[in-house]
Amino acid sequence: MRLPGTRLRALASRVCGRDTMERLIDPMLADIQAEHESAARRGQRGRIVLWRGYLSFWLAVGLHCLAAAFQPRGRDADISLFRVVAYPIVAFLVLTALLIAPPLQAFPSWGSASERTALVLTLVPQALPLTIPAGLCLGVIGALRGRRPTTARLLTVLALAAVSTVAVWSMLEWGVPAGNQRFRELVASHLAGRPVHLEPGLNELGLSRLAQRTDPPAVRHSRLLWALCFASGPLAIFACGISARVRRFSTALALGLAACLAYICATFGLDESLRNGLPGAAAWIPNVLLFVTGVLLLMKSATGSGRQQGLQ
Amino acid sequence: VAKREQVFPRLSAKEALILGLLRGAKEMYGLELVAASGGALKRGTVYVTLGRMEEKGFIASHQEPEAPAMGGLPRRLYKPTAYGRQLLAASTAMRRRLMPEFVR
Repeated sequence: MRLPGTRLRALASRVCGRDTMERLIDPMLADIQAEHESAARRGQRGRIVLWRGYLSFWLAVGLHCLAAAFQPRGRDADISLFRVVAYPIVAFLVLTALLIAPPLQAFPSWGSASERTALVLTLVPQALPLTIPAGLCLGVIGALRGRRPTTARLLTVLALAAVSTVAVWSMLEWGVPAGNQRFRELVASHLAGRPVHLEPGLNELGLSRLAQRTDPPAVRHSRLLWALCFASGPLAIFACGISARVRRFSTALALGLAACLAYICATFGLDESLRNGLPGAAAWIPNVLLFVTGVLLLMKSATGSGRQQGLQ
Repeated sequence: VAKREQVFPRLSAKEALILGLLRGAKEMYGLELVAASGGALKRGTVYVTLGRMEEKGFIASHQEPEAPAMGGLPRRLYKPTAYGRQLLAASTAMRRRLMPEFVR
């Protein structure tokens, strides 16, 4: 018979470092196993004991993660692959929820439950092109936690950036136009009290349909969307650079957050300026700035560690 | 901050309680401490506190030498270090000295 917590330990060993396993996971699981065994011996219901143990296990793991996140440097020798992948996903989910919350708050008693669900479904794709790259940036900072990524982890981050780029592209091609259009029609129909059909504007056109247009506002808007499509890479490189150079996690996180906010503000600002005649190449300025800053920070940290090794 | 802590290390109420419990016993494991504290320590937080105290050098730990009969994981036993004992004694003495001043 499998002992309680065996699967949990196998999962934890993939995520946690040796130190965390020895000091936190193993002692807690040992207690759960011993408590379960003694309850079974006394003829008590082991299941309740087990669930109480698991509850405190997850509470302790949550507390440990919270405390460890704000330590300047972890004691674990390497950054686990799971963390590099999981943190950006969590950050992206949180950011998406934060971004769709204000529009939902604007319609507190809006329509039926199905209409509200439709509203959420139309808002999510509109948020994704911004929250995917921003989530990747913040998640990478969270995962690296003030450490210079190894080559393997840098490649993982770049692979994630590539996946994010494809996801953002598909959102801009299909998700955002459909979401925007449905959102406008939903609101208009609700206000008019009858089904309303609206002609799609520039924001309701996908990348391929925008490419067919030749009028300057559409061309410039298309360039901005393409720049946004490739934002994940520069933001991920920037996150790696910040993590490599800034030792304190809270400072690195604040810088990452500032970079993401600046990127989002710049995107909206550039959209307006591009429509008013700014050259289309300007759309790529935020990407170039973030990429160059990230690479410079990584190079500087590599030189610094090289010098330290030389001194040793 | 690190320099100030080196001069006068802080001992939280929970840490003092754990050191007090460990001082009286030979060695204890996490759930034993929870049971002995009479509800002052929670099983969800005790190991996080113990880990932090070990990092600070207040306590030391090792795995129990014999594995359980059912073949489960061996438990981790904790005991106070000399530094931890000194710190608890100093902290208790200081509290005793300051308490009448506050009560007066």
